[in-house]
Amino acid sequence: MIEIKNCAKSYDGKKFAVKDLNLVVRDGEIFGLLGPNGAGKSTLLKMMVGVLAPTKGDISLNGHSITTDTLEAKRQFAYVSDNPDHLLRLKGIEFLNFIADIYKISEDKRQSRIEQLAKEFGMYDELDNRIQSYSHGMRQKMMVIGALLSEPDIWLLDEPMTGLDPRASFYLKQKMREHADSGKTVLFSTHVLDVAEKVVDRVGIINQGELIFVGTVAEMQEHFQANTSLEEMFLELTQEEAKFLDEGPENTAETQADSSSGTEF
Amino acid sequence: MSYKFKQKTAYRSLLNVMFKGEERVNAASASPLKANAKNRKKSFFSKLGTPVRLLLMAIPFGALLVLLGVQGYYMSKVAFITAEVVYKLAVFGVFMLNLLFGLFGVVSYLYYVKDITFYLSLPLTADQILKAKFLQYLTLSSLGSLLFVPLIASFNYFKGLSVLEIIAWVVCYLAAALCLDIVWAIVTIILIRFSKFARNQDRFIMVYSVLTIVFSLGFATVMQFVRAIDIDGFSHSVVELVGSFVVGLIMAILTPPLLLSKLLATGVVWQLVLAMALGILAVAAYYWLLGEVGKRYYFDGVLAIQMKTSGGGRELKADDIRKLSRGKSIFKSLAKADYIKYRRNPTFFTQAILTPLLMPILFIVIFGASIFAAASKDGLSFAAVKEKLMELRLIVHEFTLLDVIKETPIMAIAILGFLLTTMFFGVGGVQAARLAVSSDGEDFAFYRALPIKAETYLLAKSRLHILIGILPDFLLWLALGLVINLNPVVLIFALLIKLVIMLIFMGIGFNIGARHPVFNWDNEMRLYKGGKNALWVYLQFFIGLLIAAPLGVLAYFSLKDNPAIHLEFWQLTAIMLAYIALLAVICFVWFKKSAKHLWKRDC
Repeated sequence: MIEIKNCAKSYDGKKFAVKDLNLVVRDGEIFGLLGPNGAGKSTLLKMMVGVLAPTKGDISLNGHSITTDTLEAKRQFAYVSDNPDHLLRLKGIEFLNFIADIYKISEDKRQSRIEQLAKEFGMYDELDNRIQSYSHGMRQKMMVIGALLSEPDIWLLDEPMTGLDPRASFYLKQKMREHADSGKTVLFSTHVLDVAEKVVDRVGIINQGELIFVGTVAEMQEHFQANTSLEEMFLELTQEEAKFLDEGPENTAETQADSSSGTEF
Repeated sequence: MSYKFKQKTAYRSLLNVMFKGEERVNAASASPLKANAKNRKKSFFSKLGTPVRLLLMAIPFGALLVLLGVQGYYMSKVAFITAEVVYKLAVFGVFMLNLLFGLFGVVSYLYYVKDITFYLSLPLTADQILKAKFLQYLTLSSLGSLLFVPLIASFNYFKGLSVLEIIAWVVCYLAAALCLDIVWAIVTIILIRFSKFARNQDRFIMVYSVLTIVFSLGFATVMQFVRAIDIDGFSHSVVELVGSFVVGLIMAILTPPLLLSKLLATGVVWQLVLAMALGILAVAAYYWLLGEVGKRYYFDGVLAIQMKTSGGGRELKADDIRKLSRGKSIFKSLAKADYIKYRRNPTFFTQAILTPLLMPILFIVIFGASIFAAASKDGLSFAAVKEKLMELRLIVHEFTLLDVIKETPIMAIAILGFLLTTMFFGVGGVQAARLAVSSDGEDFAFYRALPIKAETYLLAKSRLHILIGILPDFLLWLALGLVINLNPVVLIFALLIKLVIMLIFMGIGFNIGARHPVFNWDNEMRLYKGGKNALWVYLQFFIGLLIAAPLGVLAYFSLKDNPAIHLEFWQLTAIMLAYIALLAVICFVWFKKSAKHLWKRDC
C-alpha cells in the first residue's frame, strides 16, 4: 500500500510542483497516474522513491516512511524511471547481477529469474553486451527486467511502455495484472491513455501539481454522464482545469474536484 | 518575442549552428569556460557573457604567445639559429602537436558529433555539409597553429628582417600548418572508413589517450635528464635532426610549404611574393584533395560510427549466467560497478586510473635526475654516484635520522621527496576523491532509489581510489626503502605515516565531494575541467598546505639547533601521531555527516 499525506514539493519556496496531495493506493490494484507534461507526475514518483525530498507531508510504502525509515521503505518497491540511460558501461548481465546484489536475491533464484525475464523480454541474446550499445527500447527493457527481478511488493513505473515493442509491452501489462491480482501494488504513470484504460483499476489525474480526479474509469464516465473514452474525459478535465486557473472559478461550467483531498467519485 | 529573426543562406545557417550549437559526443577538448547546458542556474562564468568569457580564455593563450615572442628574441641572439631553422622548428612543432593532439581533434570535430545524422535528414546537399564541417574543423584547429607565429615574427624582427620578409615567413608558416591539419583530416577520414578499430569510439579514445599520456610522460622524463646533462648539445641535435634529409623529405610530402624556406631566405621581393603565392596554392590543392577524399569516404565513416550496431558480445548459456551472477555484498557490488565505470569510460580511465598510476614513476625519475644533476655538478661520475649510494645504504641504516640529515644533503633531498610526494599525491587524492561522487552524474538518482545506505555508497567509491591513488606511491617508496636498505623500523614507521596522511587527504576529498557534488555535467571531460573545478584545484592545494603546515613547522623547529624549542625524536613523533589521530577522527565524524547530507539532497 502507498499512502501519500499532505505531500507538497517546491524547488524554490514559491512555486509548488506538487501541491498538498493526498492519495492512497491500495494493495491489489493497478493505479494509473495520468497528466499533461509538467503536471507533477515524475516529481511525485521521485518523492515516493526518495530521490526528491517532500517540502512537506510524508509518503509511506507498506507502512514505512520514505523520509524517516528510508532504507526499509526502499526495500518495498522497485522503480523504473522515465530515463533508461543508467549505468551504460555495464553489460546487461552485470547490471542485473548488480540489482540482484542490492536486493539480496539468492544466487539460485537470481539465475532462474534473469534467464526467465531476459527470454520473455527478448533480451537474452544481448546480456553480454553493454547497455551503451542498446537502443532506447532495449535499455527500457533492461530497466524493467531489473525492476521485476526482485519481485518487490510495490512497482513504481514512470512511463514504462515508452520504447517497448508490442510483445514486451503486452508482457509487461500481463505481469502488472498478475502482480496486482496477487495482492500487491502497481502504480504507473503514462501518456498512453488507451493502454491505461485497459489496464488500470483506478486512475488519478494530476494537473499543475494537484490531483483533480481519483477513481475508476466507470466512475469518471458516470461523472461526465457520457460513455466516452478515457482520453476524451482526460482532455476535457484538464482543459477545464486550465481554464479555471486562467480565468478564475466563476468562469468554469463544471464543478471542480477539491484538489486538497483528491476527491474520489 | 525579443529574438531578432534574420534570414541567411542554408550554408551560412548551417555553418552558424555548427560553431554555436553542436555538442560533441565526447568533448575531451571541452572548453572549461563554456556554460553548462544542463545547469538551470547560471554559473558565474555563463553570467559573464560570451565576450568576457572569450577574453578570459584568451588571457592564458595570450600569455603563452608573449612567452614565445620572448623566446624568439633570445633565439635571435644564438649564432647558428637562422630564420630557416626557426621556420622548420615551428613547422616541426606543429607536426608534433598534431601527432599528440591533432588526431583526436579531427575525430572529435568530424565524427563525434551527434548532429551530423540530423543534418543529413535536412534538405542540404552532401557538399554543403562537407564544406561546412571542414571549414569548422580547419578554423578551430588552426587556432593552435597561431602559437608559433610570435616566435617566428619576433625572431625575424630582432634579426633585422624587413616587414615584408616577416609577413612572408608567417604566411608560409601558416600555410604549412594548414596543410598539416588537412593531411591529418585525410588520414583520419580514410582510417575511420576502413578501420573497425578506429570506429570503436571508446577503444579509440582509450588507446589514443594512453599513447598520448605515455609519450608526454616519456618526453618530460627525457627532458629532465637533458636539462641536467647538456641542454645546449641537445638543442644542436634537435636542429640537426629537423634539418636532416629524411625528416625534410617526410615533412615536405606532408606539408609542401616547408620547401619554400629557400625562397624565403633570399629576401628578394618577387621571390617572397612567389613563396606566399605558392604556399596559398599548396593549401588550395590540399583542400581540394580533402574534398575529394571526403566525398568518397566521410559520410560512410560517420554512419558507421553513429549507427548503433551489435555490441559484439557472445550468446550466454545457462552455465555462463551462473558464473557471471555470483552473489556479493552490496558494498562489493557497488565497488565493482564503480570500477567498471572507470575502466570502460575512456575519460575516466585516463584521468582517474592511468594518470595516477604513472605519476609516481615521473616523480621518482625527476628526483633521480635532480640527484644525478646535483652530483654531476660536484664533478662526480656515474660510478662515483653509485658508490655514494652504497655508502648511503650504510648510513641510512642508522636510526638517528636528524644527524644524518645534517651531515648528508642527499638524505635531506630524499626526505623532502618523500614529504612532497605524500603532499602531492595526497592533494591529487583529494581531487580524485572529490570527483568520485560527481562521476556518477545522472546515475546518482538511480542509486538513490535503491535500498542502499549512504555510508556504504561512499565507502564503496573509496576502494578504487585508495587502490589507484595510494597503493602505487606506497609500493614505490616501499621498494625504494628496501633498495637503500633503510632501517626496517624507520621504513615501516614512515610508510604508516604516509598511508594515514594519504587516507586523511582522501577522506577530505570524499567529504567535499559529498557536500558539493556536481551531477549535471554534459560530458566527462567537463567534470574534470569545467565549472568551478579550477578553483577547487587551488583550494585543494591550500587544504594540503594547511594540513602539512603544522608538521612542517614541527620538523623545522626540531632540525634547528634551538635549545628552547628543540624536541627529541620521540617527542616529535608523539606530537605528530596525536595530530594525525585528531585529523582522522575529524574526518570520520565529518564523513558520516557528509553521507547523510548527500542522501538527503534533491537530485
